[in-house]
Amino acid sequence: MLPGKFLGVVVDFESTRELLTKIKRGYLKASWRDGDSLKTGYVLVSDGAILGALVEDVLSGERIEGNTALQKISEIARSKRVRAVELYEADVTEILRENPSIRVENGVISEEIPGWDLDSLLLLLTTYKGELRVHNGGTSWRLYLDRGVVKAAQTIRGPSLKGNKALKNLLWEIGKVMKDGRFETGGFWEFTAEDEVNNGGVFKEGVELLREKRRVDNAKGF
Amino acid sequence: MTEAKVVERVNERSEEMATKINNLILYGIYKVLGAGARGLGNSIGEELLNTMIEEYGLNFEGSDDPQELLNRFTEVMINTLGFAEKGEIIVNGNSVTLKLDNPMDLYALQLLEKKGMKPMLYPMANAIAVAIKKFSGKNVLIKEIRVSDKHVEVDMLILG
Amino acid sequence: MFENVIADLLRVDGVKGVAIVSKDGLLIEGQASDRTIDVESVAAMVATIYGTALNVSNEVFHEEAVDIVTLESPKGKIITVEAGENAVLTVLTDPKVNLGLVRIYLKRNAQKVASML
Repeated sequence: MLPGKFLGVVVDFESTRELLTKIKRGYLKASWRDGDSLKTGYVLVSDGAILGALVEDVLSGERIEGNTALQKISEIARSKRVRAVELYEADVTEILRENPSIRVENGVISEEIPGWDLDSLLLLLTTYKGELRVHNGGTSWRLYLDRGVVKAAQTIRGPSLKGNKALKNLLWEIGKVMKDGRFETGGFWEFTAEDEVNNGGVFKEGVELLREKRRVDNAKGF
Repeated sequence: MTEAKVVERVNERSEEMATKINNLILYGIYKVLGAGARGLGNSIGEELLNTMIEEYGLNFEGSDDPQELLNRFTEVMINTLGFAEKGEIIVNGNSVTLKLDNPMDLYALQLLEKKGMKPMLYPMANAIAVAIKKFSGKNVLIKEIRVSDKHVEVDMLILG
Repeated sequence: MFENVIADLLRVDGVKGVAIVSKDGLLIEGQASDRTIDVESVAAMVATIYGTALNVSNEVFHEEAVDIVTLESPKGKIITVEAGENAVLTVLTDPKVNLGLVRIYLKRNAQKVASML
C-alpha cells in the first residue's frame, strides 16, 4: 500500500489516459479479481507521464513491479475488468526513492481504440508521446508519435515499408482503418533514421479532415 | 371456571377478510421489526421468486430481453397470483419501476404510513431484484416505495 | 466495482471477510480470505442486525441512526457501518483485531461506497 491523499473515485471512465490527466502528481489505484484472490495495481504519475507501477496480491502479499507490473495493468485495462479507479495525490519522488524497483521508463498503459472512434483518436494524438500501432486486415503499421506529429513509421505486417513510404501507405488505407481497423497504444519502439518521417503533421490533419467529412455526411443524412 | 368454547366455521371463508387479516399480521411484523424488516427483503424475495417459478409456472427460458422477462413476471404476479388489479414493470436504462393498482398488501402499507412509518420492505420488488440478478448478474437496489390511495410504486436501481 | 474497497479492508491485519450489502440483505460484493465464511448468507443476517439496531436506536434514543454495530463473539467480531442510504459495509474479523484501525478503514471506505451507489 502506498501513502497518499485520497482525491476521489472515478467510475465508468472512457480511457486510462483520461485518468492520467486528472492528477498532477500522485497515483491511480485499481483492484480486480484474479481467481480466488484480489489484486491491486498502482500507477505513479507526474504531469501526465507514468513513472512507476506496482501490482500487489491482497491475500498473499506477492508483488510485481516496474514494467512487468505496467504490462499487467495494461492487460487488465484492455479487458475492461476495472470499473472504478481511485485517485491519490502523493509525493511520487519520495515513493520512488523508497521503492526504486517499481520505477518504469517511458511508461505507457497500452490501450485500444476502434477505428471508427475518431474523437478518441484525436484526443490521443494531441496528448500522446510514444508508439501507436494501427491494425487493418492484413497490414499493421507502427508509428512514433510526439503530441500530434508522426516522427517515425514502418509496417510490421503486410508489405515491408519504412519512413515516409509507410506513412503514405497508411494514409492511403486510412478510410479502411476507420471502418474496420483499430489503434493500439503501448510498446517501447526505438526507431532508426530510416524510419523517420518528414512531414509527420499530415496524419493528424488527415484524421481531422475525415472527422469533419463524417460530420457533414451525418448532417446530410438528416 | 368457564369452559373453552369450540367454534366451528359455518360460512364460506371471506377472501376480503382473509386479506385484511393477513395485512394486519404484516403490519404487526413491520411495526415490531421496523428498519430490521428491510433486511429480510432479499431472503423473502428469493423464496417468493422460487415459489413463482416452481409452483406457479414462471419461466425465464428462451429470452434474453430484460423487459420480456419482467413481463412474464408481471403475468404470473397479476393473472396467476392475483396480487393486484393491474401491474407493470418498466425498465428505463438503469431504472426499474414497479407500478401496481390496488395490490393485496396496500392496506398494510397505508396503515404504516398513517402511523408515520415509511414502508421499507416490498417483497414483490425484492423478487424482481432477485430475478434481475439471476438473469443478468446485476445487483438491484430498492430506492423508494410510494403508497397512494389505490397504487403502490417501487423505484429500483440496477447497479452496473 | 468495489474491489478497491474490499482490497483495502482485507489488507487490515485480522480482517477475514468484507461485504457490501444492500439494506434489503442483497450481497452487492464481498470476499473472504477464509474459505469457511459464506459471505452471501452472512449478508442477509448483517442487514437484519443493522436494521434491528436502527429500530432499537429509534425506540430508545428517538433517532433512527446508528454509527457502528459491533457483534463480538469469542471466535470473532462482525463490525458494520452504514454506506449511504441503501447499503451497509461490514467486516468479519479475528477476536483480537485492532478495533480502532478497523473503524477508521471502515468509515473511510463506507464514504467511497456511498459515493458510488
